[in-house]
Amino acid sequence: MSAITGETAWDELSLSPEEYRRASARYRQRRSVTGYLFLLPYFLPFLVFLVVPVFWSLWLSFNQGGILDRARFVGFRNWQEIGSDSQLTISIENTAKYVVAAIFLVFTLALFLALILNRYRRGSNVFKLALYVPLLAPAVLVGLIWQFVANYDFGLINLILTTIGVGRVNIFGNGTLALLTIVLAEVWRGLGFWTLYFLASLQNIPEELLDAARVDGARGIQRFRRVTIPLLRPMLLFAIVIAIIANFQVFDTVYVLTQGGPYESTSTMVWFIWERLFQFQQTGQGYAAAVILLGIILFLTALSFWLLGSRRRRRRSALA
Amino acid sequence: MDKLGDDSQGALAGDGIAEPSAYSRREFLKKAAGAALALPAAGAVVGSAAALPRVKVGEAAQPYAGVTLQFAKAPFGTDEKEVIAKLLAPFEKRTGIKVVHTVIPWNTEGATYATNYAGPNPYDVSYQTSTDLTGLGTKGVLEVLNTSQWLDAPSFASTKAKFIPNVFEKSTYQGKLYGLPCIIGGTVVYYNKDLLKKAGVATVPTNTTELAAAAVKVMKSGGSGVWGYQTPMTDKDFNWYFQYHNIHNWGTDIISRDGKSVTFTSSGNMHALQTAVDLILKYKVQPPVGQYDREAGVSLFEAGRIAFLDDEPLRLPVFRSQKLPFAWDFVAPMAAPNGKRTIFSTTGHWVMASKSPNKGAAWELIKFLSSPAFASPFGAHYGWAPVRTDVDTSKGDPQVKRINHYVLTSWDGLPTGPKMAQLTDVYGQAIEAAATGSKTVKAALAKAQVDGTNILKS
Repeated sequence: MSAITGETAWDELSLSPEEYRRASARYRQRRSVTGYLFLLPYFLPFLVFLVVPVFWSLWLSFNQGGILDRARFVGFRNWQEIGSDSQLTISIENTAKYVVAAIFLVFTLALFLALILNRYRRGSNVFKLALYVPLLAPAVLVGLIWQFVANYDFGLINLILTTIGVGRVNIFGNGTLALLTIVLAEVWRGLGFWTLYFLASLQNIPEELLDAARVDGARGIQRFRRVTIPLLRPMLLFAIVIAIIANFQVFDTVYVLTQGGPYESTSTMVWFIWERLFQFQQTGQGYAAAVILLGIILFLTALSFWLLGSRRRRRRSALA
Repeated sequence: MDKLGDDSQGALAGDGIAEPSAYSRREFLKKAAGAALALPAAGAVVGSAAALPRVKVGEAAQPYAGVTLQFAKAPFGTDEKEVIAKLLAPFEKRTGIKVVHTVIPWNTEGATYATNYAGPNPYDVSYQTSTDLTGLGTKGVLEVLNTSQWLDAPSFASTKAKFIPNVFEKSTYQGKLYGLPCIIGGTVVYYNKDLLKKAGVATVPTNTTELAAAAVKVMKSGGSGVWGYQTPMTDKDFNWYFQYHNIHNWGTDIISRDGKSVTFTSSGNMHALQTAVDLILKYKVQPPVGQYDREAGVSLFEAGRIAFLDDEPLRLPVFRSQKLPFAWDFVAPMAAPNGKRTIFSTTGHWVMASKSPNKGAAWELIKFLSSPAFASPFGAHYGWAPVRTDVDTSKGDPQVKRINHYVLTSWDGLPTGPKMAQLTDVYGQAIEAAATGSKTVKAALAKAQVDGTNILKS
């Protein structure tokens, strides 16, 4: 390789502004293409299996048929029909109750256990494993286990209730109790995951901050409220978003335990969609309900992110 | 009132096929999900011809050699795949058709068939009940069978004449028949003779009023944990199926004869549901809804804790094989107080996919499945009644003969229609609402009327 020396040689190698623009544009294009090629393995399945089905579902919600027979455009008829369907309203209510109860319970318990595991580390791996095991069980199996737990004659719950003198309770004959059983089954299943999630989050909190609070005379509960919780908040909000998305789609446990009963008291949104799509061949109504579910999840996700962002914005403006 | 009847444990006809184990739609999902999802192997080979195919086949000539048919069915028992393989062997040998049998769980059959028929290679032949038959048929995925090519072909005329006319009528929708009826059944009321004797019930009730009175007596004498009566009452356990004879007994239905309106709020429907609800909420002779599911109810009967159990005849061979520790028998489902006594079941059909590339072979299989060579031993094994006069499912067994007698003399089936699955679900919800006390019978059926009307409009 020959050395480049002198003004002339350098000038000869220099590009005119026009040439430079073209070259840099080519370079940027090459870089972009390479970037997009790297994205392709993710983006293509994302497009094919998520974006297209979403828009396809939206389109089919304005049609009748579409699975077994040809889709026929019916305008807003499916939307009007599910709008006047009391089961959909009940399903949305049940799902909302379930999501609030399940998230509140599992987060409270998981945070409590994470705090204990964070403090007492000896032998904690055994507990972590024990907590995580239910998550490895398929949801159908979890449903079957809880069918036995809630059994009238020999279920664990009724065994405890009779032992303490309350007497047996017909859990699957009572809408509230049946929904609560589904909540408990899902809490039991998700507890391990969320405990480990919160444990990892707790371990990321700088020890110095807690020490400083301790030196300042803050007691345990004060340190938890004033230091731990504020620092956990971003992780907590993210967890809420994930949990909302997952819990709004509850189906398998409902399918195995109650199939929406007694009298629609455990009918959830996905159960409603499944019934319309596959049991009754009312595909348009099923797709319309699926679009509503998507809308609810998107709205709640956006709300959570907005809340997270607004806190950051407030914090930044306070610092400024 | 009937007399208490013969001891059922004595008579047992051998059909050369092993006794099936306890089985139902619920239990299948719970206990045999793995088996249900597994793709089956092909049937065995050997045997002789019995159905009369249009194409006369000699032993050497196999007109469909090399043809494979995909066959699917929700099972009547855990042993059904083996039973069918054994019965199909002569057919496979004679025709050269290889039948690949897929077991479809009852509780997922709607979804399974919907996705299968939407695909390019649907099951060539499958089993569909009148609940789903027309829903699939009107979507165009099932072949219309009452055409000159199949059912109305001159060569099939003599066979067609052997079918009970009522089953064709119930299974035809707007002039189209999407499946060849093969099975009708019903429910029967099994009863524990020992519990009745102990309660001083000398004769078996024949109607719902007498049933309630007898069940109350049993509750008084039976002691803790004994119930007078049990029948599935949740939508999850297909409660509507076990209540439908009540509707017919009260001279009504959930849909008008022309299929254009629902009739949930008819006086007959009110009475029928009130009668069922009273057994739980008024007389308290039946466990509350949700306390025991269908299988648990059957287990309680087997344990001697239920006096009257309303369930399907397919329990018969199971109860016999278990040698229950008490005397038992069965009678036809209870009549209405006015005396009308019918027996209900949906109709089973063999259907052919309209997209099947082997329709000729599929029709041969359907004809064989409907013939005495298959239908007699198959029906006998599971306690189903025949739909053809030349098919005998009793094989001399007095109990099965009795069931067949009930069915053939008083069967009143489900009118088929594209929305029947949804309408029966609406009725199931109404039963649940009323039986749990969440709504009065009137309010529950009024809601069903509104929901049903919307369904028919959609």
